[in-house]
Amino acid sequence: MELYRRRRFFDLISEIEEMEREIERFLISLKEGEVKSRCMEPLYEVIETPDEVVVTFDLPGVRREDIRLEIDESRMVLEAPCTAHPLARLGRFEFERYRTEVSLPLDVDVNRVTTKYKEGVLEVRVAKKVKGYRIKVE
Amino acid sequence: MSDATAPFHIDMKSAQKKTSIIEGFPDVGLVGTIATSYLISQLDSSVVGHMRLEDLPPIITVQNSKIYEPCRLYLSSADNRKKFYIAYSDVPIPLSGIETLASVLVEMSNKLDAPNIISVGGLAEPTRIDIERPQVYVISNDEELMRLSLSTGMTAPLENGFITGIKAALIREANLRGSRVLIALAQSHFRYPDPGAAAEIVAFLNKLLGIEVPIDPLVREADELKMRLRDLMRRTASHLTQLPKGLEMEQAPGYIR
Repeated sequence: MELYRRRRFFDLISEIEEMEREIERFLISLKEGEVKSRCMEPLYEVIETPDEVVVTFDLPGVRREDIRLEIDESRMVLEAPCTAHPLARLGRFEFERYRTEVSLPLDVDVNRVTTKYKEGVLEVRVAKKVKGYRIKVE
Repeated sequence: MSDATAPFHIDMKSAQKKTSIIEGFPDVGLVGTIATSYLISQLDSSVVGHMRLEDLPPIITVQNSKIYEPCRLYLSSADNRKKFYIAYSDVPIPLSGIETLASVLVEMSNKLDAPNIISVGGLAEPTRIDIERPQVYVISNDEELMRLSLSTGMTAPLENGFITGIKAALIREANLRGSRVLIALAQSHFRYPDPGAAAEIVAFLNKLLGIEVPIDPLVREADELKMRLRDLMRRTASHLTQLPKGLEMEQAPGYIR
């Protein structure tokens, strides 16, 4: 029993270490890509509500009118220049714009989209595509 | 001579006994990081110690061609009268290092006879974009400290729910060793740096500690800060997903109230 517990404990530790290595590999390749393309991947988050897919992007230093957003049924592409901002130069590196492509968790209705931009955070709400038929519950 | 393997080091020559410690390690919305780094920059502050974690890979911070430990202790003073320590980290604390760091911090506070540890941070709020002024929630293991923070008129008590991560470890460790801890959390974005939430924390600390740190520059420079903190936020968020942070948006179960 004791041996089993110790094995389980060490398995857990190695799983956590492997996850941390995976995260580090991802962050290194992300950063390399950003520096080479002079293009920053904005922080973003995808949340699902019962009726909508809500995607928020953190876009500090971007003017509302400069945001370019394209949506199709399964993805969202966001692009915005950040050269107007003095901090487009971060440390040793310089960046020209934000760009990211977000895969949506399910198909959406591109005709029902609302957006809100407040204090550098863009919120895009897209209605889920209704599939199937309503069944009457007896 | 200092012990190179010790978990923390404090320059006791410049130490001020009976001085509270403010902690703001990277967490939700980097609220603690923003608030504490802003206080450090606005007040007369100097590095007086550091914490060393075995679980942290070898990292040093370089600032203006000077070398620092990533987890360090500042002594800050307002008008050379009101003094307090600030525990700060440039890097997120790995899951495996959270309990050790909490224990080290409480040990430091005992060594310094610190009357309180004030732990500041963010509380994930999914509707943050619609909130003009984030609410600051407080919880303490000491009734007097709780009463004092509520009497500022800027906070609400955290009544039900959960706290996870460094703050939970800290309050647990403090309970074991009889230290007083106050946790102050402002409603915040989860994965985005939130200077607006940090500004509410600074406003609360102004009132609690009787200092007058201006809030306006923090709000004015929000964009610049957010850009600079983007990488740290991404790293911190990846660490936070290893913690049950979703619990902080849930209610404690059952009838017990």
